[in-house]
Amino acid sequence: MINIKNLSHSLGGNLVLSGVNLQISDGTIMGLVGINGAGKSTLLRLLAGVYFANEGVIEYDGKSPENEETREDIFFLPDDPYFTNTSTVKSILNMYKQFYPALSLDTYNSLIDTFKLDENKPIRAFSKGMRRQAYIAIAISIKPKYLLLDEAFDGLDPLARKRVKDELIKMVEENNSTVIISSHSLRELEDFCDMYTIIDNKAVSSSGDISEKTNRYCKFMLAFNDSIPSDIFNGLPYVSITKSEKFVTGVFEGDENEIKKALLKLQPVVIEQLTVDFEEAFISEVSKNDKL
Amino acid sequence: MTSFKKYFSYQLKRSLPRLSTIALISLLITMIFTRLDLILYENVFLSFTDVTLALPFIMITLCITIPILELAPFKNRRNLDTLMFLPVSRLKMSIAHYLNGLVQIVSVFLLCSLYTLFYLLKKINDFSLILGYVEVPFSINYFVPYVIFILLFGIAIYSIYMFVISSAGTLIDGIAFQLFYSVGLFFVALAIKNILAGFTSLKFYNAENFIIFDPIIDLPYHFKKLMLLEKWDLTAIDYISFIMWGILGIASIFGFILTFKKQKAEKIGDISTSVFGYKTLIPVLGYSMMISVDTSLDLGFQLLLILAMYVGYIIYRRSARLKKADYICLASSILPIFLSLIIH
Repeated sequence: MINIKNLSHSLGGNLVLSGVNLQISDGTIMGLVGINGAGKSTLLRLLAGVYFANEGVIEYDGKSPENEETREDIFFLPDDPYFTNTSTVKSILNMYKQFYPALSLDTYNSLIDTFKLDENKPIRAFSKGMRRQAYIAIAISIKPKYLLLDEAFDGLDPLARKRVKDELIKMVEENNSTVIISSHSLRELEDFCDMYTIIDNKAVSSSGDISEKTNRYCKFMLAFNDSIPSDIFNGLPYVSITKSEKFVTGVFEGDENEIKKALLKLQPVVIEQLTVDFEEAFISEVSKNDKL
Repeated sequence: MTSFKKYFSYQLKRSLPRLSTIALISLLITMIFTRLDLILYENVFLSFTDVTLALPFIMITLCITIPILELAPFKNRRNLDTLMFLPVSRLKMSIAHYLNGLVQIVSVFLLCSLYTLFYLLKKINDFSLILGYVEVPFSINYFVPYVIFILLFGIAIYSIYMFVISSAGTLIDGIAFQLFYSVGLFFVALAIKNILAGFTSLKFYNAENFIIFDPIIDLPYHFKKLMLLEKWDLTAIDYISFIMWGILGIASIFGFILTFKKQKAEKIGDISTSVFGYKTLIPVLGYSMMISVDTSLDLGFQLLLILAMYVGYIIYRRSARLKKADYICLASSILPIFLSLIIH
């Protein structure tokens, strides 16, 4: 289990994270969400032991990530991993193989074949997506107990994304690994993460089960015969509104039945409930805090 | 295999192509240097100092370049992301990199020394058969300590440079610190010498001994004298400077390990705020040079030094907007300039 207590950290004199508290159970895939500059990458670097926290504690089963033994269980894949002009996928694999003896060559070979990567070709000659595929293949092959991925899906094509997701789920199921993955693509996280954490205003603004999160919001589309006044939803717990002349769509926070009853009082010609996805829930959450 | 061994062997393997290239270039330079006597003296005179000159030159070059190459990955934020989470403590990492650099220096230097030794032995043998003149009676008994002395001074310089580069936020700052430290003590010694000369009749040392490369550069001449006189011909200040560089070298090993261990990955790329960096070096070097210059004769040069300090602060802050402390340091230049007027 990862336990983060009162974690605060500054970069260049600016407070980036303040009083972060979080518990992540083993065998969880957690999506780390936040607007640009929210502190997601900093949190991952602190978790990986690249940065040492100014304040607070990070514990992996009660042990610090500064501890060498703890780090044997952690693998961190940054958003833009470093490579030299001569680095090949194979040379990078060989480096990590020394430090992570559990690295599975079968998994690695299978992923490299799927991604159709030439492991002897210099990484500098790869496209951004191919580089990402190569590093993910190595990260998954290591089968760490704790895998920290920063913007892992960035640059991956849909097929590669699906394969990576499948492999991550398989790894979690087989090894009871914990995966923390930051992403801007919230829809990517929704279909395979168990848990989410929203970093906002330097702290965890919300964390929990993804389905519970989306269930907190409901979305309705209404159609009217006449033009719609701008204050139509006044008095209702709406978090976002999209309006044309005779159609209006709103995302609301609260019990969907109560909200529907209230909306019916507005006498729409048509009322239809739509599905709220995680991205809408996230946008609603952040908009509520005036961050967008 | 322990994490240290894993990391060290990985770094060693990774350095092999670099090591081979450096070894090859160094050997070529040694060959060229050793053959200089053929050009200079038409193969009738064998100069120990000329033939062995490549060795101090190669050692100095290695001491400058190896710390830069060894620590460059730690001055790159992207690289730190891929290195600092590895299951190796920073203490072990620092020792591994120190030793890795040392292995490169020692192996390249010994290779060149061996070549020089064989060349010298062969030439001496040739000279005994043909009519020729050997500068000094050469003996292997002198060559081995000669190589050991260069090696020891080289290790001290290497350690100092490892420490100063590790104190820097960027590689460029690290290289600037290398330059400052190479001549820094010389200017401080020169200033002290001038102050002593100004206020007392004491004149007991050469400031040149405090240039970082001085002990290595002077070694061929010290050994030439040793071979001729069969005893050391060193002044007290030579001994003092040898001991001083040795102590600084040992202290730098600990300084490097401590600095590396405490290094904050997030500070890499930022301005170098270490107390061993610009913060101290700019005023110390600036004031020392001002004291050494005779203001009454060259006021323009003093103004130039103030301008150089100002530029130094701009480089340090990476901005023309300096801090209050910087302006105070610049304004305080009046004191060493005034002192220069008194002592000269």
